[in-house]
Amino acid sequence: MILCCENVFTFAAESHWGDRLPTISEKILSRASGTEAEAGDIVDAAIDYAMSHDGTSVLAIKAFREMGSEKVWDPGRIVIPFDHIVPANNETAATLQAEVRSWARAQGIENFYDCGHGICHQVFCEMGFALPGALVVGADSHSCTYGALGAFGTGVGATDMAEIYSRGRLWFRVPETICMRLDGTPGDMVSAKDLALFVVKEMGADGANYMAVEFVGEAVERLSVSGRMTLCNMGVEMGAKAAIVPPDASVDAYLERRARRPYTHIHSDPGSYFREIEYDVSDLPPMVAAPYRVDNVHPVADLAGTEVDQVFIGTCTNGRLEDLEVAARIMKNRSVKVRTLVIPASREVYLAALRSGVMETLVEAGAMIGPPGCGPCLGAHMGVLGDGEVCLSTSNRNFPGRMGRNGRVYLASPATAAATAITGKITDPREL
Amino acid sequence: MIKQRSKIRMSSGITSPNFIEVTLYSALAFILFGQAPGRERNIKYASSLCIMIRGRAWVFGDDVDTDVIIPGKYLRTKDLRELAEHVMEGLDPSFSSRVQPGDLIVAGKNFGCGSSREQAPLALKLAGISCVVARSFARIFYRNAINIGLPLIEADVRCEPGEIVEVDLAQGKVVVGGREYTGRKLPDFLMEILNDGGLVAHRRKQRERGLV
Repeated sequence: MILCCENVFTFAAESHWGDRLPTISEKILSRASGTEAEAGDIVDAAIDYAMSHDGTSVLAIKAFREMGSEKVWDPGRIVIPFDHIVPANNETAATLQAEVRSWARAQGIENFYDCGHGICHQVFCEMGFALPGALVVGADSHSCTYGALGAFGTGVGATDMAEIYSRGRLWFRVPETICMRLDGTPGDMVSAKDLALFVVKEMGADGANYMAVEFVGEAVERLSVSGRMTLCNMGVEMGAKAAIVPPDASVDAYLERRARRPYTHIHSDPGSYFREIEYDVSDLPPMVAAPYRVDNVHPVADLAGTEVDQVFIGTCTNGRLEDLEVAARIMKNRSVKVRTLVIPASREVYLAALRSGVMETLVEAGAMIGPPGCGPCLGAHMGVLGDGEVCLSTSNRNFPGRMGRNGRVYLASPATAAATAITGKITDPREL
Repeated sequence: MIKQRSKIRMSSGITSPNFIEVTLYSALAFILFGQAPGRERNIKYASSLCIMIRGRAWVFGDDVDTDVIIPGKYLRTKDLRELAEHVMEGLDPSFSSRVQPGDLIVAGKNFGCGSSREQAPLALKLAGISCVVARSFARIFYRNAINIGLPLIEADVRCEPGEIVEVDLAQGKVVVGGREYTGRKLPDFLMEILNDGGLVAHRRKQRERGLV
């Protein structure tokens, strides 16, 4: 659906940078700030679309009011999905959500997605707000997910979001770009999540702090948009400000009936990167991040046999249809040995999984299905861990206390999660 | 086997770097913030300001994440003081009962990594922390701290728990036990926000002065 004929994402073809050729990030931030922005510059940039969810909206609205702001800059460009605690699990959460809901109504926020629509990042992409060349900002650290569609997507806190609500602009330091080339074709049962965990392991938890990361190469090009979302989603786990896959035809196909506005593909000019790193991932095995660091990553074989109490398949990292499909393929005609929670990332994913029989397979295998949302990922909703319990999760963080005070979280792909659910121990999905 | 090849290309202004320069530049790149080679392109700000802080140090290591600063289950609250009661619970359950107003935190690299929750710097501020000194910060925490008026400075500081630390934000200097460390000065427009007590107070002041 095209709502506006103004082509805000077009970028002038000629280069203004002289010898120093620009990256995707520099081009997007230049267009948005009306400057010739180079890595290291600090610019005040116009935001194309902004997102805040039931969690961050509360403080953002408080800051917005305290700033003395009355009307948002553009109610058509603010997107508010409810996902962090859905449906509300207690009176406080319900009351806070009611306040956000009534503020959104009073402000005329057109793109408000109440409980049940799905996880903010999934809904934001499905509804066509993440577009090639767009500057999109979310009040959530995993807003780097939008780079899967060629956007510059980055996360901020609540007060920055209040600033965007008020002015539609925000300051940014233009990041250097690390180009990460992933060559080769990984084997069966090795997915985008394994690539993401491998990259975070190689870079470390702050290896890309304050930089943008661009993922290129055969292994990336072969990924579906869903897989690219998984890869970009984990960008922040190495500190990246934005994680971008250069847009191609598969992005156009995904956006065909979704894009909110016309867009053009923006690409980095050759040789514009600050740093280039290449890996051949042909022989990459399934990977697992052990507690309590996302960069504490090992081949699944090193951790195989570790007993778990719970398996969780879902989240903005791995709750999409292809994730549920691979889990169903493994769980078909088998039964789970430990409690297994599956949470589709959105209503669209849920419906597709129901219609294709994927949900039936998962339920037959003994999985519980939760309503679309973040679930227990951040330790605030159904499925949290008891004292000392172990969970293998397809989510993106395993910090101490993340899913319960003394819980231990291992991070892995949906295939590894499904295989682990069947055996009750961390299992290489290729060996099941 | 996983094969890796890494090559590094310089930004403008640096040509033919040798390996050490490249490595150094690469390591420093993420902390260029505030001393950017470039210009503040279309940012307007007033004069530079001066903020001095002195306090007793709590010392933490690398990669202190937002889940240990304030766990997700405490985020939904109508009473923000509740945040201070659970601050740093993931690393030191006794922290909130022992921290004194004016104390500061000295930490390693990547302080505040993880989620965008603004309750993380807010919990530290509400608990009385006057400043965070760290070798580096995760970028969202960095922005959030300035926005809510919690002073912070990037500096690689050697410090024992309980030592008295002096921070001169305007000069970008940290002094511990007679040792002086040069940190990274905040750009003037961020100093101005911090000096006003955060972005909300800054915007309110601007509004009162008719600037926005």
